[in-house]
Amino acid sequence: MTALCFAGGGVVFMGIDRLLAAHRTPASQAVDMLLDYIPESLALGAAVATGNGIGVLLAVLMAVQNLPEGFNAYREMRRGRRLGNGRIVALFTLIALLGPLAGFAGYLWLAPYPALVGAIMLFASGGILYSVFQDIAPQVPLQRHWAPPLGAVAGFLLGMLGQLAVPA
Amino acid sequence: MEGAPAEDLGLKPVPDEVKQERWERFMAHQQAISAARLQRKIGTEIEVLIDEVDDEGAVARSGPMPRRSTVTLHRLHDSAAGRQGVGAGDGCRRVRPLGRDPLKSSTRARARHRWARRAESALIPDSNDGMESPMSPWLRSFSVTLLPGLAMPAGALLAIHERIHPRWLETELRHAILAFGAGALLAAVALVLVPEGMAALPGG
Repeated sequence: MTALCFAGGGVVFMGIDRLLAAHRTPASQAVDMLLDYIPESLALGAAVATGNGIGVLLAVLMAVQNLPEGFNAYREMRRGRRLGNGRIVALFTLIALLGPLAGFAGYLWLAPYPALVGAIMLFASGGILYSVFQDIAPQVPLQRHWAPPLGAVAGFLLGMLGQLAVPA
Repeated sequence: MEGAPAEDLGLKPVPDEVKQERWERFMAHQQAISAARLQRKIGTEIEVLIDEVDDEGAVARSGPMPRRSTVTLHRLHDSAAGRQGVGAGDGCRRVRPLGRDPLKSSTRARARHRWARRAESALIPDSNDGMESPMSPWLRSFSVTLLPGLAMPAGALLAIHERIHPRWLETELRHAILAFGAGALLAAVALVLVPEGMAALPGG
């Protein structure tokens, strides 16, 4: 069951990714970002539903990840020269509002079903892992520069320290 | 009441039926609040100290309890998870799986032991407890879930800023930040999401 949820998350997000790749549109970059953000929001909504400290830790880790993502998405969208600064920022803010939506859904409907919350967390994990290796990790390497991979180690370290700081 | 200032106001005593009706209204309101708070605990598993066990279930205490109240817990059977636990508790902050049968004597002994070690801290009231407004968990959940999303427009603003000051963020640094984010996300998956998800699912 756990394996099924996890694998399902990866496969479903691959399916959406392939579907999008087949129909490239100018808004694709925003859709890609949205696609990364959906499993994160799902996971966060599920975490909030459990009601303990891990929701905050997840939120911080995701904020850390979304900052460079917004940065890169902006540059790529700007390159297309179809949207102005204000509209891009407004669009991103609109996407951001998905988070509380998922959070409230988790808080309202999911909290009484811990098994469902667990399943969503695993599904989202599969999706996140897919998008990390599909979108994020391939953008990292630079010829003859050694800091980027160390950044990944530092990011994971932040998660570890956060895990220690949050009472289990 | 003799000597109370209210006696001097010259008011007629309220009839007993009215007193009873007011008391019932007050209790109904209070019970609704209490029920709503307990409702949120349903489906969660709470670490408790079992006071006594009978055929119907157990009476136990949960969490730091400034009011020293006891709560009646009901055996819950989560058929999907094939697990038993105890649910419903007031003043509880921690949620943790209790294993197959929380009412077993060994669990009880462990709970007592843990409780004894925490007895001192339990005497200090949790600042949140007892004065929790109905809005606060909503606000908390709102801000917690909005924060990661807002990082995206923040990143875009940073990128706009960089256009004004070209090469403000060198390529290497930008790639490192991207990798940092990926590392943080992997940590979220490996340390939080997968362990929590597997613990909650049957056959995990």
